[in-house]
Amino acid sequence: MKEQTSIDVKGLQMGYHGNIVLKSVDVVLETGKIIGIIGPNGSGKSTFIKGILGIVSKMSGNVTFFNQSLNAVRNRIAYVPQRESVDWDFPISVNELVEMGVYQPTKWWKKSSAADQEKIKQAIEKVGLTAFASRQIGQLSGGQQQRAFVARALVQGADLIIMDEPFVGIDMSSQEAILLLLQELRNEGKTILIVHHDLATVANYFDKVMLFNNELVAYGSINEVITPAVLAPVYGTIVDFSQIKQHV
Amino acid sequence: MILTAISVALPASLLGVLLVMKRMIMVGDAISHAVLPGIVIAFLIVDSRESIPMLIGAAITGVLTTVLIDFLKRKLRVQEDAAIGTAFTFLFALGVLLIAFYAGKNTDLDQECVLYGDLETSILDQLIWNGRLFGTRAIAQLFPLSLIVVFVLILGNRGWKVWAFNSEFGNLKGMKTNLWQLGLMTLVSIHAVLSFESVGVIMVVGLLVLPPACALQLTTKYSKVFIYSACIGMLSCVLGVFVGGMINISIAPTIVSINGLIFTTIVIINQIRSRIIA
Repeated sequence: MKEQTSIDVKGLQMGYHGNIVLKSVDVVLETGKIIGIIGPNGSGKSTFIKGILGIVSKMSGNVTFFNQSLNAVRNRIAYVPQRESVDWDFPISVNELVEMGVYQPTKWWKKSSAADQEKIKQAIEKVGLTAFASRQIGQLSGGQQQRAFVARALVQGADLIIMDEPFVGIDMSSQEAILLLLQELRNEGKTILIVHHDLATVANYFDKVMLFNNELVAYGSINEVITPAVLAPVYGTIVDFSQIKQHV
Repeated sequence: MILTAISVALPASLLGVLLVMKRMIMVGDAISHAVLPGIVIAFLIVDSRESIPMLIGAAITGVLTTVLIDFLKRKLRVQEDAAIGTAFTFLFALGVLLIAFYAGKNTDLDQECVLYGDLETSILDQLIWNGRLFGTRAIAQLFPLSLIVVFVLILGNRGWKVWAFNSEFGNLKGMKTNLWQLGLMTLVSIHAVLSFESVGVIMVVGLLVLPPACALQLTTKYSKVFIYSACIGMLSCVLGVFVGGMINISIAPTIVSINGLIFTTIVIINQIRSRIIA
């Protein structure tokens, strides 16, 4: 049985060296949605996901995933880092990258099994990279690189995939290919959380959005959040609403 | 002598691959210098060059160095290169002072030897047990280390790959990446102390960084990087001993110079090849 709640955040407060970056966040995210995290630069978007995942330690607050603690459900959560934080010159192939998804730290001396290899093959096929499986990751296009990381999340069996700015520096058609893949995963019941900065595409990409500005300003559907009344206090007058495509 | 050089170079070229890929090679540099006070203190306590206390001293200071660098970087927010520079020059200077004050007068531990090593005389240090010759002390110590390094790298292959490429991902999966890192640094420290007599703390850095740098120019396949690195490390030892002997110059720097030449050659050939293809 699938849970209704993917992430439950209570009073999460984040900061570096005494400065508060993110004021007390309370939010409940449901499963089976593609959820966008938007906000101006430095508004705490990345800090939020790093905080809930424990990559950066939090000042206070409590976070549960699928009604359990992070430690209990680590394998059900996948994190796709920002492109710039990945070492693309690292000598590994798509195959080896995806294989990391089946790595079990508690059985670190074991080789991956034949069943694992089959899973890896299927995941690579699902993201459409079979022809590139043995290629070094730096020799892929930006869109293919993102899809390779999604494949790693898939072999891990993740139900929650968290992506930090996956569309930056990627052309429109590749963005759409990634989106189609993510929509397919959502329809299978997976939850996808995406940090995103391009307001122009928000309405087409996400089911729901979280708007940050050093606190959670709003969480809701596109119709509720992507409105002049909600966005203007955060972005000021720089938002050109004619640019934001409403697909409803 | 070739065997001594190879037993220094083989573990170095393998450990170096992980350090270079993780972009931590300067930490390796730092450790190879910073183990000095550990060695000297161990030497002063037991008053001999017995290897066990020296190994423990070096392993402790090696790990301490990584912890110190980490502390400067994370807690005091010193930028990484400055943190590394601060930690290792300070510890190395302490070690040199300790030698000058206490150990230098009536012992065979001296600064020249520590800095530059002496591959030529290391073969005079023979290991004799039960009246039989077992080879040199350096080989007897470094050969088991080579085996341990190979064993550790093969057994933990997948973990090392995750650690080097994407520690955050490992942490998220519940992997104790800090322990892996300390383990690697312990091996680097032990290697540094076992090889400083033969090649000195400066040349050992060359053996850590040059073979992997060459290998990364040659291939983008993960496991091949290790194999190429080990081969290049050993090849430069054989050539270095041969050339050094022929023109009668110090061998350790000859090995590192040859390694540098190999690197330069590979880079030039790669450049020419990419020009021709383009």
